Amino acid sequence: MRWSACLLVSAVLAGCGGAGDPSSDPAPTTGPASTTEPTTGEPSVPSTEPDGTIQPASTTEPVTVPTTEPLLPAFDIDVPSTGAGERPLLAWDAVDGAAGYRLWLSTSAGRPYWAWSGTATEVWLGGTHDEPRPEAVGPILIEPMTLTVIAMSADGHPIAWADAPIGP
Amino acid sequence: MRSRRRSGISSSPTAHPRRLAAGGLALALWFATAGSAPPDGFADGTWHGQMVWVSTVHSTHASGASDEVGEFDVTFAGGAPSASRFASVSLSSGATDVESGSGTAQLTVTIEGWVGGTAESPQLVAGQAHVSGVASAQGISVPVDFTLSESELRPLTLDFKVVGCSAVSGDLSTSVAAFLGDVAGAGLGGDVLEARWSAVRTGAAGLTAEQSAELSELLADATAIEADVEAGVFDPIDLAGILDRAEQFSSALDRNADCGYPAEFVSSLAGVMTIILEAMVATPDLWSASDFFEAIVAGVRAGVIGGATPSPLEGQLSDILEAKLGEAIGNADKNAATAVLLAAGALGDGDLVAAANEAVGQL
Repeated sequence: MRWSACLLVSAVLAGCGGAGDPSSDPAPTTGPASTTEPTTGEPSVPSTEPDGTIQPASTTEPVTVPTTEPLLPAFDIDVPSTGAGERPLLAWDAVDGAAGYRLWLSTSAGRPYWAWSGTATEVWLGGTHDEPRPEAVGPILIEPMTLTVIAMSADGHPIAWADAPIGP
Repeated sequence: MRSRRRSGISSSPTAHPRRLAAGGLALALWFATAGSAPPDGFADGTWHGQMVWVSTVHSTHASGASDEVGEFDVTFAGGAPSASRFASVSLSSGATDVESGSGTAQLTVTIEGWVGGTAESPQLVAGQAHVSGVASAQGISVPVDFTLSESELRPLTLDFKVVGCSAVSGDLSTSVAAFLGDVAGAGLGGDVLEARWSAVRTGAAGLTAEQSAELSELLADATAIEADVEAGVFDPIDLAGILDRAEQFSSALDRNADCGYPAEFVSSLAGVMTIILEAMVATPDLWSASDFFEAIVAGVRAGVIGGATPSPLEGQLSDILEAKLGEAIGNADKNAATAVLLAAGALGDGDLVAAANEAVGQL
């Protein structure tokens, strides 16, 4: 069991990390949800496809090569990976067609820490409408975490996603 | 460590050695960064609590409905309560002659008492219960006015659902049912539909009247959501609105310096949120994967889901989502598989994320 939230939808991208992860490849902003397109061929030597798929050296049957594309288009999260403070403002780009957003913070161990749902494109950690007082009750960012945001359509379907590291 | 009572390794069929190992490591790291562990009940300090219950009242010849609200204040020192106060008022109305429907009653039950027991097993002790009102039958109305003494009333035990350093909350159903049984000797009985309580640590200043009223309303509104879920209706937007209000309420309270792990938080509605999730887990066929996604987001938001290791409730949610994924694959339902993917992500179940991700890619 891997307890890692960063696997979400970004699993179909290269590695863990998405729109907000500077180490990852730029994520496409459009495209079909996901496709598996059969291709035929009889490669004679092992080859590595652009997506990292290793093809067998030879085969007598047509080879089905899965080509993965992002399940959902990505968008940007505006949070610092370090220096965000204990009670940061979590902000992201508005997504066309989004009726609301769901977000969650995951610890470095992959465990959920705090979540939120609403229609705004920013929220203070803890859900307060105003900047929280340092001494107030509520969740605190005391270790590096991963922020995942899902844009939802009016009929409750996800239409875009983003994730990014955030640290105090 | 946000709750002592929901910690522990899942005993679900999907529990996996790697999960156990990872959980153990995470738990060790968590304790390494923690201060003192939270108590199994009320931490020492001053608390304000609210309670609500919704019940039907009946006797051999009577039936009706009763709504009750109550509150208590107490200071715990060394696990012992002191300087406490408990008061509640219930309004009951109904028919006093069920067979003919010819009689009615409007009753008010006022209870005054204190907090007894211990921090880990607290009780609301009714010093007396005053029943007043009017009963009518065959066109004749008679006043009702009597008082039950402490010896005629058993205490209400505050069962914990979620324990945090700054907020505790839970269930009152069992003891309220017994309490109503006592009152039944005076002519009333009852079936408890929902009975919940919540308390927050206030500091010496206590809560303002406005804050106290807001906590009461939050508890009542969340309990109404719970009642809807138990009736098969789940409105995540309404629930999110209530949790938002709970967050604004909590933001006005001060963190307690002795709360150990500084990131500990539990919503004042965590107890009701737990009961909502338990109700959904008990009736998985009533709910879609999208419903579970929304409920899990709410659970994490309230501090019910999360912490160092997956709780048994989280294990049950994983099992249900796994079954939902199987159904989605069987039905070639990409939307449902995507909802499982999101729910698993919010739950932090990496294996299920991977499985759902693969399924979505193939559908």
